[in-house]
Amino acid sequence: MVAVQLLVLFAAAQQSSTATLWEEAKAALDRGQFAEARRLLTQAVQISPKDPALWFHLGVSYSELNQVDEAIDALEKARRLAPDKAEPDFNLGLLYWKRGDVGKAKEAYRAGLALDPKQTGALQNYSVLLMKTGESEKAIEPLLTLKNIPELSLASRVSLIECYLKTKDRQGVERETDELLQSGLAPPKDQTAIAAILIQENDPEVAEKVLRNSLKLDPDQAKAHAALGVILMNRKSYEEAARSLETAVRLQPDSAEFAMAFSESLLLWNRPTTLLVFLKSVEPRFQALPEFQYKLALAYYGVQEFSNAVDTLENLLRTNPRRKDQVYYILGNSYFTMGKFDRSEAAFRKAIELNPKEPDYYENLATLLRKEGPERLDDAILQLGRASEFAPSDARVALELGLCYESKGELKDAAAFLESAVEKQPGLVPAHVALARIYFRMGRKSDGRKEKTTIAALEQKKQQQRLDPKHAGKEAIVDDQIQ
Amino acid sequence: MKLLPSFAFSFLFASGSLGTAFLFREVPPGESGITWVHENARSANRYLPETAGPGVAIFDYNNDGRMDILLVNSGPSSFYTPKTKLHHALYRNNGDGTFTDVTQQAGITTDLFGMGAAIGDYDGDGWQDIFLTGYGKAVLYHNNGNGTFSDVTAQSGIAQPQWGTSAVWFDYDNDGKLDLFVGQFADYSEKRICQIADSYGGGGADVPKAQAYYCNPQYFGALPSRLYRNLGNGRFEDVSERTGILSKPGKAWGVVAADIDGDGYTDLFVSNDTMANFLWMNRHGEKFEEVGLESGVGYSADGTPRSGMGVDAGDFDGDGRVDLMVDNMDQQTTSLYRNAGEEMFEDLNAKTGLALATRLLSGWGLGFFDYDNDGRLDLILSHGYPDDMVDERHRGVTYREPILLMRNVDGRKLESIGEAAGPAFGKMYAARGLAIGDLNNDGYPDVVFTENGGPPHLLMNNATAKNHWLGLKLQAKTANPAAIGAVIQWSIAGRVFSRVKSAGGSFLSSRDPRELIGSGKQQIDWVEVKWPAPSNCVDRISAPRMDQYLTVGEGQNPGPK
Repeated sequence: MVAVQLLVLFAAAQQSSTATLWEEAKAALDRGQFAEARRLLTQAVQISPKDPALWFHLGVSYSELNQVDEAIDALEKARRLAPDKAEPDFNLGLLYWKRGDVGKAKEAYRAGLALDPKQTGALQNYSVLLMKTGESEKAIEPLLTLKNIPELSLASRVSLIECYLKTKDRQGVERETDELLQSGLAPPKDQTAIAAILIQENDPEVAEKVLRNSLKLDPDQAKAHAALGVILMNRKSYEEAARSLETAVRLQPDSAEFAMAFSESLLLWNRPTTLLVFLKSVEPRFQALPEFQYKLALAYYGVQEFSNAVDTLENLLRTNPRRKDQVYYILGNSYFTMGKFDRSEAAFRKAIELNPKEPDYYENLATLLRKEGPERLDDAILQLGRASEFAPSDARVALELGLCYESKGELKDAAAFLESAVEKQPGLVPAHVALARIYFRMGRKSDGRKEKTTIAALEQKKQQQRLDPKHAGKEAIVDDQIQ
Repeated sequence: MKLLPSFAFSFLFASGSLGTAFLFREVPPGESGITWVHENARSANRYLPETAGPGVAIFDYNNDGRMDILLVNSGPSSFYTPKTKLHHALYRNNGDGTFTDVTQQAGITTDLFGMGAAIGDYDGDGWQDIFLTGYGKAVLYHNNGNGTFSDVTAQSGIAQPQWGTSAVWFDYDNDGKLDLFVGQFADYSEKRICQIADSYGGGGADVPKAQAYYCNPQYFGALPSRLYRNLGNGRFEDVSERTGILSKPGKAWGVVAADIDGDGYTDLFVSNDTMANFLWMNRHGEKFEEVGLESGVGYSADGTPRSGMGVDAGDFDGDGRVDLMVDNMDQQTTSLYRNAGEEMFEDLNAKTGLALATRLLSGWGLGFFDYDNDGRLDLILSHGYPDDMVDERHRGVTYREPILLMRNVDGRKLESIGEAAGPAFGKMYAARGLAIGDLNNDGYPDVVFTENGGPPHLLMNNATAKNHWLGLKLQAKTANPAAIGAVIQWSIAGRVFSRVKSAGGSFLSSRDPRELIGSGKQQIDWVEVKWPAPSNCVDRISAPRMDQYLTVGEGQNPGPK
């Protein structure tokens, strides 16, 4: 009896001791005194080793003290003792993740969310974990839940968009983006940031929508104008791209990136005079940049100020620019147009030496050699042979080879190359013309007449396009001119 | 010390520095009396016809044996009303280095926005008649034989072209009468006003000021040229459809008539702008077959169409076959097509050096001529960019460009003479028409070229080469009055040369109809003229007296059968 009484008394004393320890530990936790809490709770769990709450808070204390392994052990015990509680799982999820045990982390979150599916912190962490470990598809579900929580809506929606991007669910991207824009949740700068993500993940169409929306709300965002400009440039809407980028430059005139992108758009839009005027206006700011000098040279080339183009390029070469081969290539073209064939040839050869895999370099050198006269034809053919190694399906290489062989009087070979050219690019009128010429010279009049008919049809189509007011100012689609 | 007489001093001064004689001397207006200036009607709207004119003709209008000069002006049209009355200019050659404006007396007063002039005795009365082309109008002037002309267009049957350019008189059916080919340029009926994107220079809408530019002809549709058969009573019949000319619309600038294949029928080479050139082969006087592409003269060597402007025909390499020449815009180069026989041509422009010389130039009037009478045909080429605003935009190419004198070295190579030819060759012009003719009858061909919106330039050949020559004035009886198609042969030291008389050529212009044969330091053994059908008779003159003009009348000097 006394023993039992003693036992009961002991048990009561213990209980009272655990409770005291717990109260003190709780207070220490509240004060952020985690080491003290740890001490107290360590004692407490020795007294009451089956109390999951004690183990749980011990685990939290360890976690706060960055004792991850110990924290995990304590929380695992808490989980085993209270399998219906989600909190240990949620904390284990974070700790396992911290330790790099991604698999266990996910398991823990899944288990916890099965018990408490609406725990927003856990949902957030879990979705982030999934996204970061390449399981974006699985992250969608928790994010869809979070989306409806007002204070988390924006971040969740953005994450959802990212997940749809990663899972290539275009409809999802569009739908989510539209909803986001309609919700008005995202301020313009956030929308621009979202657009950046969309661009990064290769969805320029949706990015464009977002950017336009963002700019409607706040038109003074240089970055947004620039990003939109680049999208438009890639889509070959050069005029609009230029206007966008021009605005970016106006808003942020010190940005070399924007200035060079604007320059690029003007080049692509074939506005060399405007480009030249612009570059001259920003020359004091950017003239030290090799890219600036390169674009300036292209502008001079575009307005046919070839000697200025040459001077600029020659100066640029002295600074050892990044793509020297491109510089030599433009230099070659400039000298060619000026009729300085020797220098043109030297420049083309230098471009080839620096970058022997660019077919255009060989092609242009070959054209020059062919125009120089019969004694250079063999060399031209050699260069074209190299071009065709890198661009075997390039119709222009075949055309140029055909013209070389025609000049040599080797009509059979010429015809073969030209036939190949028109097979690769049926709309290439110069190839048809040369082929027709050769057929007639070979006495193949019927074939020659067929080519003549084809040429007439292609030229008529081209002329109709030119006469169509919709195409005013634009080159015809049937683009077959070579210089 | 005796002073040199002042006239001798002024002669030496005019020739250049003492001891150095230039090949050509430009005669200033104050000396020649040619004070006319072309009005190009330049407007803010930049209507395309403003860029083209004017043409020039060298011919003997009054049969006094001296070559006169006709210059074509612009005038009232649907897009232009001059502030003052404009006139063409017919300058009578006074024989002393001066010219007198006889336009009013001659009655060349019809208003038109003129382009070019084609000279020919269409009615065979021995007096040269005039056909003027223009925008929306053409005029046929009959030479009355008394220093005056009458406008006989209305009764001629020749339709008004939309935009007539170069024309040529030649006998296509060998019936002994001169027929007329009228080149037609592009369909400019809507008088489109272009922005920079559609302009000659092309490119984007670059220029800050909003203004019009001269349109690039590629944005206009093609129109067919016309062939009129001479019915012999002052009337002409449009045979364009019947002969096949109508079947291929073009954008014709220049035309030359020459017997390409030596079959006795005169063919036509027509330059087109922004499309292939046409080589119309005359099939027995019934039809014309267009073979530009297959013959190799239609497109560039690269297979692309170019902006063909002036043309000419001549035997450049002395092989007895007619070669062709056509100039184009900058970067396209001037082509010199060697006739290889069987209607095939080879472009020699790279081999001769012509391509390099003309790479940055836009050509207009040009011609084959033997400036030094060494027996080889040389080239004279005039240039100027069509768009007057090019200097603002494309500063590598200028509006005004030089003229070139290219000497035929050996029938295979050309040498650009440059400023050694004379100070005129060191200046820049907005040149257009060009005519070659012997204005002082010294046997050395002179040159007159015009400027768009400027004065004409008279370049007198100083005859520095002192080579021998023989001039032929062919007087037909049953063959066509201009003897187009006549085969002229001559022998020098046993070697026989030949030439077929052609017509037209250059750009909007007409040259001295007489034939000049240079023989270097040698005597011509004999010269023979085989008249074209329907005549076919042969006249031969043995041991002709050199350095003079010889009139060869059809059938009056029968040669050996």
